Amino acid sequence: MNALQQMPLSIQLMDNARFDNYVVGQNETAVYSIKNTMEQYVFLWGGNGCGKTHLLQSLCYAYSKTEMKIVYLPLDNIMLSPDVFENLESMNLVCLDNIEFAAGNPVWEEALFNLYNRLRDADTRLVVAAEKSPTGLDFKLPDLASRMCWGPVYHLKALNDDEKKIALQQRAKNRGLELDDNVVDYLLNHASRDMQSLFKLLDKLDNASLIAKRKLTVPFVRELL
Amino acid sequence: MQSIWDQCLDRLEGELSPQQFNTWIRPLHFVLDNDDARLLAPNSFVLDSVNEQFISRINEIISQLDSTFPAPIKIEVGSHEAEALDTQSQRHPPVKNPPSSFQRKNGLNPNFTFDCFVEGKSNQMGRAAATQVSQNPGTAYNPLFIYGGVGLGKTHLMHAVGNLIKDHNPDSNVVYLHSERFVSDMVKSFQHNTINEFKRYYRSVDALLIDDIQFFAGKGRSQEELFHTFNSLLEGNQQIIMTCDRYPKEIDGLEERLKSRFGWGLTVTIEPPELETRVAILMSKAQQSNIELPEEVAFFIGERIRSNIRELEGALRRVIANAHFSNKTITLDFAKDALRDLLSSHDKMVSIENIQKTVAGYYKIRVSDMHSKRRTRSVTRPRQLAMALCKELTNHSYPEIGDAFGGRDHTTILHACRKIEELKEEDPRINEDYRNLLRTLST
Repeated sequence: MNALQQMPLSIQLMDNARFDNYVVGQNETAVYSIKNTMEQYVFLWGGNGCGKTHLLQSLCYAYSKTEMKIVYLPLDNIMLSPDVFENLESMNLVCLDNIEFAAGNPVWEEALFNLYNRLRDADTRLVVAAEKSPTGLDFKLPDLASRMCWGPVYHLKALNDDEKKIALQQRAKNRGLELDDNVVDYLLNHASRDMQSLFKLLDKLDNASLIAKRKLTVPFVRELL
Repeated sequence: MQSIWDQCLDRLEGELSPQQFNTWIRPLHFVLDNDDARLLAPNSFVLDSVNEQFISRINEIISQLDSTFPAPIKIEVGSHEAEALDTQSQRHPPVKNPPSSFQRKNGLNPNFTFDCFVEGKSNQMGRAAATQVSQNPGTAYNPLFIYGGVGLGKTHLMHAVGNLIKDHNPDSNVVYLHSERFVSDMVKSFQHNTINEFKRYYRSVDALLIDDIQFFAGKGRSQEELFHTFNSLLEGNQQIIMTCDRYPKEIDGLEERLKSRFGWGLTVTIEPPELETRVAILMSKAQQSNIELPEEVAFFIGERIRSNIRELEGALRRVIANAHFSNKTITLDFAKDALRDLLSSHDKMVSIENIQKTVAGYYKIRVSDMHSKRRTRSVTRPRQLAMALCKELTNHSYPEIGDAFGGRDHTTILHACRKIEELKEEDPRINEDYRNLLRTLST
């Protein structure tokens, strides 16, 4: 493995998802709801890069700071099998990410349905995230589909350009990287503008600036894009 | 001072991706009694992954932090609660598996009572039968088979019976469980060689409440066991209540002998609640949460969400959460605002086009017949039904609906809606078709 490839891993630590480095944008009620209310079940949805994973992981972190047992399961991970749901009612918080990967798969749907029932009986908190709304997900099992609607459903809105700017600059700052307004503006005008792509781009720029020992300026960024 | 495990966690968090850390490390529970350190994983899937990928690193870190610490750390399946119970009861040997005994608490939810069950035309029969059964368990109607679509209150009714039986006779042994639990308990008892205990237990209860019986479909061995349990309970005049998403005869993958037995007692159906009942349900739920809900808001939500009670409750929870956040009182405008994205995704789902397609498919006619001028009965009836459904399910105006049906006048739509209303009263088949289509379109 060369030094370039290793870089993102060593940096991961600083990008840890916390509520305080989440740019809320128009999603105040959703954030408030999962952070402050004790709703047993909440459903978050929205397109790529609207911050679903960040929110789930922030919640995991907040819970673990109070000695609570949590588990975070991204269902797009092909290594997982429905057996991973067994006995999760012993946790205090279960976060399921990308549950669109369960929709339409009978084995996963039934496992998810059973898990839902057990968590509800045990009063274990469940927060799920998906790219579509519960009614848009096309679950084949009506019993599961109706349960997915059984709590507050929040549509997470993507950040607007000003908010994206804040998010990018905040993350850059965490890494000790200076990102001037004109550079961010340039990025927002020339690159793919969903947050995932932008953060990935920031990784790339960060690496490149370290290797070239150059500051991130518009001409330098233009070369890199 | 930070425990050695907390220090180990800090190190791991720095080394692993947040995803790996939250998925595999955070669910682990560290237990230290005397010099015996163990990690408890919630299930064997997590255990295997940790063993494969992380345990050697964990042991490495621990021995770096404290070279005298008794290594290596063992990892096993178990839970914090099971451990706590265990230490209370004078230190049994460590729990190697999650508790395999099915003799856990009776599963009844004390919140599901008759008092908070909102009665309406759609569930009157079911409620009356359930009340009878709770007054005369084992004799009135045995088994009681409650069926209907998802989220209409079958489970609530079932718990209500169980709770009332317990109220009348606190010593009676009432057990509620989901079909999945019956199946998984049976599998476990085969594994642990406790099948006789399993049989004895389920045959000894005074009332057995099994939810979602359709999940037995295709599970032959479990059906066999259910069949014997069923016979034994009936013989002993012990009450059986089952819920299902459909009529017994319609459950695919279920043995005939079970289907016929399910129908031996009383079979009642629960229909989707009509508007007034939906409103009453919302008012009752709001009251339970100590929330003041204006009636017009309840009507607003009830008119828009028709499919099932869970979705209704979900919408209410959303309004309540928004009210908590903004510290405002709930008004009609407030509710509209809070539910804007929820309702817009609904509106998107049921479009006129979608309704036309679904109705045409149901009657096996062409979608183009919806727009055509043909006037044969085989086409006009479905077309009128589709028009009435558009009125019921979308927010489009009569003229807009007319346009979408081949540029018809809005009075044609008005006429169709009235006609279908009449026919629903007169012709049970039309009524049935209408209900089926409504259900398909709104779930």
